[in-house]
Amino acid sequence: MGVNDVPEPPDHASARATALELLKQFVALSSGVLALSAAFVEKFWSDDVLLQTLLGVSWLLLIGSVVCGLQAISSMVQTLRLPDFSWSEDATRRFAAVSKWTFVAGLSLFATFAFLAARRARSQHPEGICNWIVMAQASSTR
Amino acid sequence: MWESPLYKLSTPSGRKVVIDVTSSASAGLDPNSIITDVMIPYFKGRGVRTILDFGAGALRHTLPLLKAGFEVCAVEFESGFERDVAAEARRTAEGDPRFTSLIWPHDYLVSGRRFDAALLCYVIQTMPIPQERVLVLKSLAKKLKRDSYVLYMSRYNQGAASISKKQRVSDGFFMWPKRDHHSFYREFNTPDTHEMFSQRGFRYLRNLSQRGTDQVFLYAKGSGSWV
Repeated sequence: MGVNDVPEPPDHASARATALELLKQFVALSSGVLALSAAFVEKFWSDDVLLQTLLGVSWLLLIGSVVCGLQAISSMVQTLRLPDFSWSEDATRRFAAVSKWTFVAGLSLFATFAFLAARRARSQHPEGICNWIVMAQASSTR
Repeated sequence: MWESPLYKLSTPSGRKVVIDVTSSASAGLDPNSIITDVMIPYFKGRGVRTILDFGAGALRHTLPLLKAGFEVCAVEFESGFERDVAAEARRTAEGDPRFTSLIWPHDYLVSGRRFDAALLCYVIQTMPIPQERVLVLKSLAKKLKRDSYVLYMSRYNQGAASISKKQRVSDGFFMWPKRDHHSFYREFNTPDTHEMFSQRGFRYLRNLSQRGTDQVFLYAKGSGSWV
């Protein structure tokens, strides 16, 4: 950009639309992981307290991400309704940040849980994880 | 407390004084131009329909708000409404079906009505009991809906420093020392005013003062979220 070039004014409408899209992704992905893991919890349930704790904490974080994502969208609406209420914009950013980091943390913990659960299953069934999954599937169709 | 607008207080030197908080109402004044020129369009633009005029006195601001189409509820001591100018203004206002009034304190405190906005014009600084100021703001917070407004008006640097120390009473001064019933006056600086409102959950929105001695602040009772 040259010295005399006037910078483009910030495009608030597009920024809001992008932020909304991002928040919807957090809510959808967190809900998806929660719904799937809750639906199949029987299959990968472990008696190991550490694994149970990991799963529980990851669920709590993902629930937190959904709640904060919805709250951020609600604050965004408030910002549009009442532009004078500048604290709504602060609230939007705060909730969005919490939604993002709880999503990241929840997903990471869930991945760690899945890895440890799979490794444990493998050590208990040396014939392989595939067999473990087949067994799980078989038990679900029974 | 609050049974009557008359407060019997003693100065630090032991002089007994009677403060009549309704005596500070200035009869016959035109409405403040901030109300007519700024706040009416502002409130209309934000969907405000119902307004509480707290300490309405002679309905100086109630009448232009009614004329602008708002539902206005005036709150005043019964004796305040009975004063000649106030009674006449009340008769005029009662011609408008959107006007209602509540007698302070009983009718007001038991009323379950809630409002979109409130005016608190030259009220707090004429109240001699500090705890009552807090209670007024507390009750106001209850009477206002979510996402509502409070317009606060006062003055500062109006010569309080030059008032004789003999007129000191409570945390301010009594005025008109030669009268039987006095009015009360004290000043709040801007940070103290913001703090007082902030403690009751009101957030500062903007300063609408037009002169150096004016304190016209708009506060909001608003959450950061829509639902």
